[in-house]
Amino acid sequence: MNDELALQLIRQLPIGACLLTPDYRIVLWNDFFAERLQLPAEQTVGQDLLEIFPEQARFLKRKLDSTLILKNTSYSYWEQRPHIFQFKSTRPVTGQEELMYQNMEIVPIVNENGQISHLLLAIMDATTTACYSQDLKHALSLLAEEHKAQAQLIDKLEEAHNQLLQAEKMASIGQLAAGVAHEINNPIGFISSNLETLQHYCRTLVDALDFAGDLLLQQASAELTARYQSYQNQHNLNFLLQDMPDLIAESLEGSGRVMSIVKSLREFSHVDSSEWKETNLIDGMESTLRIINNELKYKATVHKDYQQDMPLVYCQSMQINQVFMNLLLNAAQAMEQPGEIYIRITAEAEVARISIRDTGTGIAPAHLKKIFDPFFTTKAVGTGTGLGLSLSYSIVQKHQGKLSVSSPPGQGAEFIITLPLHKAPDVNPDAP
Amino acid sequence: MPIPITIADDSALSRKTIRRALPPQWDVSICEASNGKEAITAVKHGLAEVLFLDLQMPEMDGYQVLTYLKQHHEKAVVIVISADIQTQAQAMVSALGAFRFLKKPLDPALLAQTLKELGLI
Amino acid sequence: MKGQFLSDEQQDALQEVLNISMGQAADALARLIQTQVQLSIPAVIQSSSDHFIGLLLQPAPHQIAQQSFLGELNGEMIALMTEQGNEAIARLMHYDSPMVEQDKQELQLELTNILAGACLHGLISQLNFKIQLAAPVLLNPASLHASRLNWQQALLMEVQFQIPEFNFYARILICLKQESLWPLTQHLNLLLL
Repeated sequence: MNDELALQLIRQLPIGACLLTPDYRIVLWNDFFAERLQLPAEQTVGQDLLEIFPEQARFLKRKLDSTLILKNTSYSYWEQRPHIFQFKSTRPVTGQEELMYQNMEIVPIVNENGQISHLLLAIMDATTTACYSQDLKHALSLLAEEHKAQAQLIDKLEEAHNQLLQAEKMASIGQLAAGVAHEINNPIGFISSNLETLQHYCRTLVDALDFAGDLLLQQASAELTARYQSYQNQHNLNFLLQDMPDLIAESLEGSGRVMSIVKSLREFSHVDSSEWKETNLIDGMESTLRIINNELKYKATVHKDYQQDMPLVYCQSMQINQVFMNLLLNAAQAMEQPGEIYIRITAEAEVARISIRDTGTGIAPAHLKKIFDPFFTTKAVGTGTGLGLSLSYSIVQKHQGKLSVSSPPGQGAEFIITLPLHKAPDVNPDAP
Repeated sequence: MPIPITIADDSALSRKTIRRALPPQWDVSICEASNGKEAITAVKHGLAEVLFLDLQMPEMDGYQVLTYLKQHHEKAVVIVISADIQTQAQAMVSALGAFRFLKKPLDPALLAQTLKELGLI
Repeated sequence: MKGQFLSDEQQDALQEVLNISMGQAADALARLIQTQVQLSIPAVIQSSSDHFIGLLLQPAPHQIAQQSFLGELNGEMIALMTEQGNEAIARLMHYDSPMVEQDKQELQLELTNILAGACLHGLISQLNFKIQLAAPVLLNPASLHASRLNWQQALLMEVQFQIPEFNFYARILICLKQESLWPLTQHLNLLLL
């Protein structure tokens, strides 16, 4: 092969070929370089490569020097350094990329003395591979994302399943409680009424004994009086007569408390409480407070502000009580240290308005929009249901009412429920 | 009267290469050592007026041998022949009293020239 | 484990050839970064494919690159190296600092090319082989499975480099399948004549 043919071959090689002296002067600049950079050989041969490409000079110098020192080929890949030279993309029509992806090799050309006489800088077009590989990576990352979303969904389903189990458990506990309350109601009723009767009998008996004592005194029989006195002392009759009314009064108070708990339980979980009826919201609130008294008493002081002569509201009282309970429990759980809960029940022109405000940690602005979403919870996994607020929201909505929240930074949170005072004509109480 | 020399290298091939590279006209009696301890024993027994010493060896390496020889004022002429050709290694062995540092693979012409410079042939 | 692949003489000769190659590789790196590199005594081991995979999947914080060679001798080199010391070495090699992920990969490939390339260069020049070196590439250990390898036994030539100053550590394995060993033993025999 003659020199001219060899030169033509190099010029037309389908890769970029640039031959350099060890001091970076360009000796050969083939067509690939010239045409793609619109920079003819006449303008480059004899020039310093690093001066022509100042932006890449640092990198090219490092690579060229490393080849010179090591006398070994140096490489560069499109993955780490996609565009060494500003070659236009080889896919101007079908591709989305602007520039050609390049692999580079710098090969030392060693003369017969073992010295490096020249460096060959070769550029290979890697655009197709690069785009294929990037598409693949993109697809893989999409797959990974989908996979992650699915995993999250599975987690949510599992959580929902647990919630349902919990709800079912609560429901049966509620039924049990209602049943027990019903069973206790009768005996506590007659215990109570018997105690009242007993209290009455007791008073009569005390009077009778006093009367008998008086009679003895009037008789002025020393012997009879002494025997009566001795009997009295022997049986501690004075103390007995004093203590008996107290015992009965305490028992009556105790049975009264039992009756009130039973009443609350019945009100709260009464089978008929999903009924729509005219309801006193204050009674509902009070009965709810009694039920969750244990949850609240160490966490917050409850301040009540009820409007006098609060009108009755047509609603499902048990469901509304449930909403009160959810909001109150949330308020208590938002307390990092003992705080205050302010309850306000008022009537406006057309609506009843119930405000429950706490001095707890408040709700982050980013969370405010999401707190009524099902399964949204900021409580640790397993402690929060993530359903309480969304359930409350749907209950209030079913009542044609509104449940809103505000939480100015650093001031706790306030939930406001508004319920229509009057049965709206389009309310369908039987709607699910 | 042949000069006693010792070739200390853990590789048999390397010892053979050095042995073959010795100028044929040099009248020597050769002892071989495959680690630093054997090299020191050879020096103590007067078997190493010239010691060809590898650096990386088991038991006791070339640096330790040089340190020992320096501390005990042994008179052997040490020529280090090493694969570790970093300038830092070269500087360290000359600081420890080696006369010359030769790179592996060993160039016989360079070895002959070195021996000539040291007046050994 | 001493290989039955090689006789004692062949093993000794190969080890010495590796020793010299390793010295040249370390010198190349040392000159580039003006820092002394510590060498180990090279090891020649016979390895099953399971053992080989085990080496690559070590839990140590290693990055893995691979570089193929083909010609009179066909095989691959594996470079395992720590990420520790990267920043210091990069600075000495005039990389931009701090490095982004691409720079780190580029450095790792460059170090592989320097160390593995120089090792192999030493090996083939001493044993008179004509060999072409391919570009180094990063290797994802997760894609390696012993069951997918098409060989049972291979010869691994192992050399280690350390730069204690930077806590940098690199391990180069030059790997030849049992089937590809013949040219190596032939050339070693020539050396032993």
